[in-house]
Amino acid sequence: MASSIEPLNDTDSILTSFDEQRLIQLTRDGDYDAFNRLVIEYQGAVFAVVLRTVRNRAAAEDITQDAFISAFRKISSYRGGIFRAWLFRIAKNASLDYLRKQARRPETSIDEDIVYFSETVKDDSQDPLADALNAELARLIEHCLGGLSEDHRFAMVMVDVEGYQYDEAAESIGVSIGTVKSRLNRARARMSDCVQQDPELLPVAMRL
Amino acid sequence: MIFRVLNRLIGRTDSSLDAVNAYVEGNASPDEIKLIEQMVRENPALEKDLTTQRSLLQVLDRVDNIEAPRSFAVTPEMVAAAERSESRLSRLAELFAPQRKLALAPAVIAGITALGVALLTLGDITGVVDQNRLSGEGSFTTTKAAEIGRQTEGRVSIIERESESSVADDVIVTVVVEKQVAGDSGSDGSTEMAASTDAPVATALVSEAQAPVVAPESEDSSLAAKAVAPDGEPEADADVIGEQPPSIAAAPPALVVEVDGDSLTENDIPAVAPEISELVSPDDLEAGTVTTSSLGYGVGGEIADGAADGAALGAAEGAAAGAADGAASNEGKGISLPLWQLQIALAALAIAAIGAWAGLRRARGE
Repeated sequence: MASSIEPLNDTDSILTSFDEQRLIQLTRDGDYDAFNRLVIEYQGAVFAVVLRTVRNRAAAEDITQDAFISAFRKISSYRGGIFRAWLFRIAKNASLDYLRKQARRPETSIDEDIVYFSETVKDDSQDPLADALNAELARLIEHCLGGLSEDHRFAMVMVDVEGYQYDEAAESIGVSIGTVKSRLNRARARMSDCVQQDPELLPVAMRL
Repeated sequence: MIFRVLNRLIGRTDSSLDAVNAYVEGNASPDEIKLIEQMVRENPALEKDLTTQRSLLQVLDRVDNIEAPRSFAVTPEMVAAAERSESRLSRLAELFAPQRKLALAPAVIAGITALGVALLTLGDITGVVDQNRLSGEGSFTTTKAAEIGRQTEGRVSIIERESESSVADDVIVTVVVEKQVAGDSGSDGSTEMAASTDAPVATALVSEAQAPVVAPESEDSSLAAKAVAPDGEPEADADVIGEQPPSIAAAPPALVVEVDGDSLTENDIPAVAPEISELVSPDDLEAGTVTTSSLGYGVGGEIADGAADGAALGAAEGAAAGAADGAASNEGKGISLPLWQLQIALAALAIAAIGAWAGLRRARGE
């Protein structure tokens, strides 16, 4: 179907809520260009959450692509609410399916593809020693995050890493806000216990 | 729910959960801070935990955003390929996806049915469960009687199949054992033949109980003998042993043996009985539904002078023996079921469920 929307590139501005609803309506009519503007808007966020959940870059790309294809096909089932959360829920289900399949195949190692936060931790100190410590700390955090259950990890990635609000995280996960808070509380407590295993890597404030 | 209960048991409520989260995130209200301070006073170790969590969040907050490595734009070709790959089976598999409640349904069904087979087998071995003769291969059915008639080319044939109104499932089968007599080869019906040969016709109506649980002794088994005159009318009815029990609905199919020809003696048995014996399985004989003794007595009775009475008495006695055997074999057993049918059905269901489970896993690409 020919699109009535001008093509956008990655640098275009954030969509307004009105634009979003209009694009969703056009997508229901089969407009690929309209849906792809939504894809451009949210692909970074969806990919980040998926990557930090599955910790495998190639798998994350596949899951993200499949999630958007699935979203286009199931757009009629979108009943309102936060559209990004609806996308996150599709991506989360695909991510959890992937992780469960991986769990049934213990011989498959994903260690070589693990996404360490060391690649992305911000540090303005320009201090090589601080960079090294940050890299080790990031590895430790990533290790501890990987030790959480899938539900706890997803909640922590959504709220503590990606910075989404409780309501959006709850809608994305498909649980109540109270459940998100509860999962976060337990996830943070377990993360704290885990990172204490290597206290010299921690900032002074974190050391016991 | 469990954690909520545990939290309440240790004194932590939802409000304290909110307070902890808000404090760790650095946006606690004054009331929440007071609550935290109270909790810390009660549990000093909590302070360090909360401090660690706050620091952890500060570290996580320093994590850069991840950029999409490429465009994930959707094209019509991608959608078409996805729709092609999503077959009916994969849609069905989606219903049983791991995150759904039906995920383990095929496995559960397989387990339950396999357990059923195991229990039935165990019950069969221990004698708790017994094969229901009514539907088992041991019962003498009209189909088998018809087979007898077909294979003996009319010399042994079904001439009557009754279902008494008061006996729902009691099928009475009448089999005519005809002795080939020179000059009577053209006869094909028992009544016609009886008239043409002018010979006494003896019909032994043997209604044997299959020794149901309610009839532990053979004397309680239903047993009746009926003699039929040459003109086909009943000449005499005789309840030889016992009385017809009120629970006759549970009785198995009865066998009526009609013997034609006054020259039939015990010497003729080998000419007739083997054919029947070959067609009636050992299970039939063991079950008491058809017994060699009943056939033997029925055929070899003293019918020169009182053929009907003799045959009837003989058949009845034979049936009594069979019934007694049946009663003895079933005595003390608890449940009568169509055992092997159930076993096969459940086993087939278990195999089908396992196959479905494996198929669904394969469809999901596991």
